[in-house]
Amino acid sequence: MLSVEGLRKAYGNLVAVDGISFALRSGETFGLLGPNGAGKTTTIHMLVGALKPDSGAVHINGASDPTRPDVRRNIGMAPQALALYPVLSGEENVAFFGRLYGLSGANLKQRVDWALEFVGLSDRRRDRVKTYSGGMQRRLNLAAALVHDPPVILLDEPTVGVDPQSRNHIFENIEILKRQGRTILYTTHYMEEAQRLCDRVAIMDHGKILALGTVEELIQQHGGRSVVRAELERPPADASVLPAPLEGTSLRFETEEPIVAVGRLAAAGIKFLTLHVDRPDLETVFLTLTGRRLRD
Amino acid sequence: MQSVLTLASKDLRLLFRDKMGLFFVAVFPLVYGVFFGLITGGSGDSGSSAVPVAVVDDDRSAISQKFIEALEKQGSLEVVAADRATAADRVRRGQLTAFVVLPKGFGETAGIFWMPGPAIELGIDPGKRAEGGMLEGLIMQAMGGMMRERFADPATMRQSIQRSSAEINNSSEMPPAQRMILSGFMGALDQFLGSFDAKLFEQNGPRMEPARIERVDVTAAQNPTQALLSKVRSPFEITFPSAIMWGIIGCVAGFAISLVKERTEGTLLRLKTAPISRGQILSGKAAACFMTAIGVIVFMLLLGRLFFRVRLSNPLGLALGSICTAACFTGLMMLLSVIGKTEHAVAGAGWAVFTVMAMIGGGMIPLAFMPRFMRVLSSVSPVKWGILALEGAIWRDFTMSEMLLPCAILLSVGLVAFTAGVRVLSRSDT
Repeated sequence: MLSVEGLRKAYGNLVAVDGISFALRSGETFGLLGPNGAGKTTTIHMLVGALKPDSGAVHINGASDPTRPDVRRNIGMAPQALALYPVLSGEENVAFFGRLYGLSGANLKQRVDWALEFVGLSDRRRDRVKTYSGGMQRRLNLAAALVHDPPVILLDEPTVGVDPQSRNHIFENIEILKRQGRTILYTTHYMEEAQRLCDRVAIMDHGKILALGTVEELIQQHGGRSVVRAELERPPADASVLPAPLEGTSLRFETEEPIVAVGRLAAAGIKFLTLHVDRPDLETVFLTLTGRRLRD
Repeated sequence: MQSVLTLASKDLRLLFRDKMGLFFVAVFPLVYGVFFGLITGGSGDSGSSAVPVAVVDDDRSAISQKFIEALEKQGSLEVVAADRATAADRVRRGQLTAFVVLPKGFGETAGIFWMPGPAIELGIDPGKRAEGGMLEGLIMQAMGGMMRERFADPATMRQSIQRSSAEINNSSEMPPAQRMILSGFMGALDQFLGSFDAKLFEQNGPRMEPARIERVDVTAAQNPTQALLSKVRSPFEITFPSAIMWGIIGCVAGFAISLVKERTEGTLLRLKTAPISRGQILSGKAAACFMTAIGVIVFMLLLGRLFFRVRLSNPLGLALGSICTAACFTGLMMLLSVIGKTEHAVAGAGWAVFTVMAMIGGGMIPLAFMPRFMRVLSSVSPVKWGILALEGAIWRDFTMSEMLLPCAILLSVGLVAFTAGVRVLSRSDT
């Protein structure tokens, strides 16, 4: 459906994207997870032909030139920067972009109505975009990407700076699109979003893909063990039942199977005042792979 | 083409929703044109369309006075009395459209149809040929009135006939046969006037050549600037082309900034990912700029024509000049849009560049009033060629071949600027 091979882009000495390769399967949601400056946006820009790669190739539906109009008609892109005209109304914005994709007449009207309804902005359709909240503008940004009914959707950080309500709305929108069988490329630096929405995730940093797989695969391969932290009622009489030494009444230990380990301690008569289990997630994976946190 | 029009209509819609942008494109040039037109003498003219004419009365007779009154009654003339030298000088300076000299003896022959009409001298500003033609017609009309006056006063007319009869009878040079015929005719005429019904004559009076009009050359004493300015009928004909250029500059600045805005705000990226070419995107922007520039010209000329006596005497030349001016500044818009990377940079650079262009190009001081060295220097400014192309078709009476020079320069500048702008833009996008 969509694949890149050895894609590279440099600005002078700064290598923004460093020979990355990946392929999206039809109907899957593929995440590019990485901190700001990892090269996610540059990758998307090369995918749609807005930027020319220094080397490497992009294939979309078998075509290798993403600037071809017939290729672009199959792609809908919601850029990270809100790409809207503030003095036009929501409806005018969506209709304008629809016309650029060849929609007209009743078909255009129908698609505009659908797109605005889909993102929950029908009641504000005639208001100028500059009067919208940040979250509403994000949703309209998504509507403008969907108006021409594209099978491939590229969403570049679609929830940056939005309120929780709009964020949930966008998540629901994406889940509906997933169920409709659209192929989605989703870039984000929020690991919760990647974990919730993406079938597979590529972790990017400094222009390179560090790891690629399902969330479970990535955690399994790079996440390490779960960390159990507990505050005990009193130190046990037999300290050998503990998997790690106590510091006062505080216990901290790592384990592959936290539930089993905690069960064993309870069976040994240990009473917990507090109990925390930190399971590895994509944040842990990123930390393991780069030595930094995602939002550093 | 559809995509280009879609893009252009979006830009026009954006312009119409931007009150400040609209002000600089439409309101500011109008204020400029009217204000400077008024302070350079438009107030005196705009209230009245009467043609200012001096009458030099060398005859100082009752008939010449009646003739002057007849001219004044025309309504379309503003008649002032003057001596010959003053009258000629004021026409040379462009303060008057023409002067009329009523020679000595005017009253003796004016309105007497069997005598040769008096030779009336007419000195006309050569730049106001249309008014000159109208003035000749009005003089003839007034002379016709003189004829009616004569017949309306048979007693005076009979005195004149009797004086003529006496001259004929006493003439020794006139052949006897001719003398006999004329004496008979004068006698019959005298008898006729004795029983003449003036009212009947008012309705069915004769129609014939009542005067000879001799044109007097008034150009010799003019310097080139005066000769040039004498073509101007209304000061608004000078201020409106300059004002139009300010409107176009506002339009160029607005669209150049909007192109930068598209880049900085991300809409250009969305356009670049749509199934349209980069050429179509830029053509859409250029088309909107071009259409707005043409809109400014049409709007200003229409107002100028309707309310400020701006002539549209050469519509074809005006269309050519307008198209070339709009094309030139569309190209400059494209170049301006790549001068800076932010809206502030482009706005600042744009106004700096275009203010200098306007200053030396006649946007502030009209080209016609510039000293010679400034007129030479102004040739580097596209504003000059834009003004010249418009003025050429409005009041400079350019022929189509004379229009070619400013138009060719405008098109060349536009093409070079557009190409350079597109190249820089394309390079910066990769």
